Amino acid sequence: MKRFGMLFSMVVVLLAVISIVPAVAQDDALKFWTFEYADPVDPFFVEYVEEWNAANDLQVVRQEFPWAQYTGEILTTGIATGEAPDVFFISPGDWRRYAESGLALPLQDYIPEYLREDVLPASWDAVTLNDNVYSLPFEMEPVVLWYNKEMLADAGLEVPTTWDELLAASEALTTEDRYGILLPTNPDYYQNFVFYPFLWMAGADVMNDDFSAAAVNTPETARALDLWGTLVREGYAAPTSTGNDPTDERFPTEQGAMFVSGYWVYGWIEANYPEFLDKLGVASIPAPDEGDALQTVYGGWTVMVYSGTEHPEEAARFAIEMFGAEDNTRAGEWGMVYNTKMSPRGSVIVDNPEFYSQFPHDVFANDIFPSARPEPSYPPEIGQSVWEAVQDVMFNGVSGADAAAAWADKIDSYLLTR
Amino acid sequence: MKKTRSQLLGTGGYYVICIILAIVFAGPFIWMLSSSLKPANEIFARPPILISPNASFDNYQEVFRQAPFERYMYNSFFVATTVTAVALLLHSMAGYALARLDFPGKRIAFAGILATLMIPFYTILIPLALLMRDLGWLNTYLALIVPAIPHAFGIFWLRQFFLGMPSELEDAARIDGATRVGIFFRIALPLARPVLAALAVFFFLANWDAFLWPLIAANEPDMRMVQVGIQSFTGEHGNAWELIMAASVIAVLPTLILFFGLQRFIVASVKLTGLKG
Repeated sequence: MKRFGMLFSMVVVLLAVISIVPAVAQDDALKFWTFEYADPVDPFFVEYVEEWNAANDLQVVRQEFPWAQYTGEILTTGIATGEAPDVFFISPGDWRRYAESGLALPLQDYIPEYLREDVLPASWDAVTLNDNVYSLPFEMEPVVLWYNKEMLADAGLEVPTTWDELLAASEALTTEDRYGILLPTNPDYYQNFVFYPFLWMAGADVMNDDFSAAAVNTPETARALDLWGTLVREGYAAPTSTGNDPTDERFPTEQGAMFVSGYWVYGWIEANYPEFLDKLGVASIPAPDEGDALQTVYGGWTVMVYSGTEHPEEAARFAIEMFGAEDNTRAGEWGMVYNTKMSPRGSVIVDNPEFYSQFPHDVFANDIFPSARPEPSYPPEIGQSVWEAVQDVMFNGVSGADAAAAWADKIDSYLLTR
Repeated sequence: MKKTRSQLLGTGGYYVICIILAIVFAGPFIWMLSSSLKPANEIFARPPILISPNASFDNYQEVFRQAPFERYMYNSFFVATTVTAVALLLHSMAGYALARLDFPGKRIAFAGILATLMIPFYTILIPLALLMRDLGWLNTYLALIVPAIPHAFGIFWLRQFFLGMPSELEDAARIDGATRVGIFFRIALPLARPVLAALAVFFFLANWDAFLWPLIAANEPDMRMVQVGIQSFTGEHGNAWELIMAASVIAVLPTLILFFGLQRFIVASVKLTGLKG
């Protein structure tokens, strides 16, 4: 009895203790949410928030959240429970959904003239809905073909520029303990993102121009799908993921000769595999045939202001000044110092000629940048239909033509339900 | 006595199977331990490196440098022990009442409790978060602890145990003048010790491993629990596997200690309640 009496009183004491822990005071402040960046990136935000707080009465509090749950659980529950942040980062795949649901503050009237002209028109288009800007672009991460220079040289190969050459090189570079090429294999938005340039260069697209029907049931789509399908089925491309599709460790550890991925690969290799830098080569993703126009996709998050904010004026100013201040130093440092990203502001490239004349930034500034198109933003149902088609050709033995037809059916039946 | 050939073969086969099973179960753990000591560029090396020539505790230092990991450990420990203590007391009371007392609506109450097992947590996530916000509990220990306390599993298990308790014990106590409360605390609870110990392990582990609810209920860095803390080593373009592994090793230690300390109770309680997997 004594012992259980003790347990009982312990429980009572514990409950008493936890109930007097005061709730964290919710001051009147701007809430600024991002996902969690790697440690070296943090000073960027810390310094900007400090600078803002020193100059403004309305203080800003930044909170960061685990990457994998940021868009799903965190933002969704935050908005559902009325705990939404005033300013937040939003992925290119999600901004449209937020804008269409009325969750984003229209920013058109807050954007200064110099910024309107400095940012690429394509970047503005990517965040514009019904002639209003709903989010601010601040980074671009184009997708390219990274390759191991040594492996290509040993095999006596030139960098592939057509799909036939890409297939032949992937085959020639595949050995018992390495893959010729690494592509994303997980069914998710990232796979779609990397697949788009192949689809576009083949001359196809997901939707028709006025978004009223699927545009994928074409021989061009089938061709792009077949390329990915062949690479995996023949064993030239890795059929499994290491869990890090954007930074596949098999590339710098020489278990893969070519790697379709983004600009960030350079920063990641510089930090973790410096000895590999000598072997690192970069080129545009090959086009289907000789002479076809090159095209790639770029991703990049944008910053959004919550429509329900109590301080629209300040929140918009906080968001704009972060990357859009007249002095473009901060906008440039974001991509050149803290990350390996490009700024959508043309002035950043013009003002930093030294940086953009070094490998690989020169290749990005001169060759890749002009052919880059922003990641499209589709409803989740259509997003899913993209990776299902890719998965079908890669792993379910479906031909490109059949997969394209099934894909078009999925999109059209979804459109009927809208 | 000399063993025959077939007996020897049988013993050998038994050991072979045991070794294979041990590798299957211990393998991931050993890999986690090994990777936590490696520099990042060796984790995916081929052929795999089990014992790195560059092994060091740098990753562990980095984990504590990059995040207040000791704070996360403390939060998890405090939440998990509090939930366990409170839940054991309340669940045993509920289980005892459902098993030994007669009151109207008992079957319905029991069915209602069991039915909650069929509701996925995702469906109540947002209503629960709204409730916590209205109570002003978000970002406090209350939000992390109170919703974790009620759980049908513990009540069900304790009810099953109390159903099997011989009624003569209670009768004898009553003859000696014991009240209901006295019987519960002096007779029933001490008898339930093995079950309580096993449940304590389950509750502690479940709360130590909790991820989704702590992620939603507490977004202040100081209120993070350990699993949410580990998740902070994942990132936009990939995961810092070496840090995730080091953090996982740290996070798994308390659960290992607890499990090995109490595992005989778990086995005993499964036998007692007739629950067998």
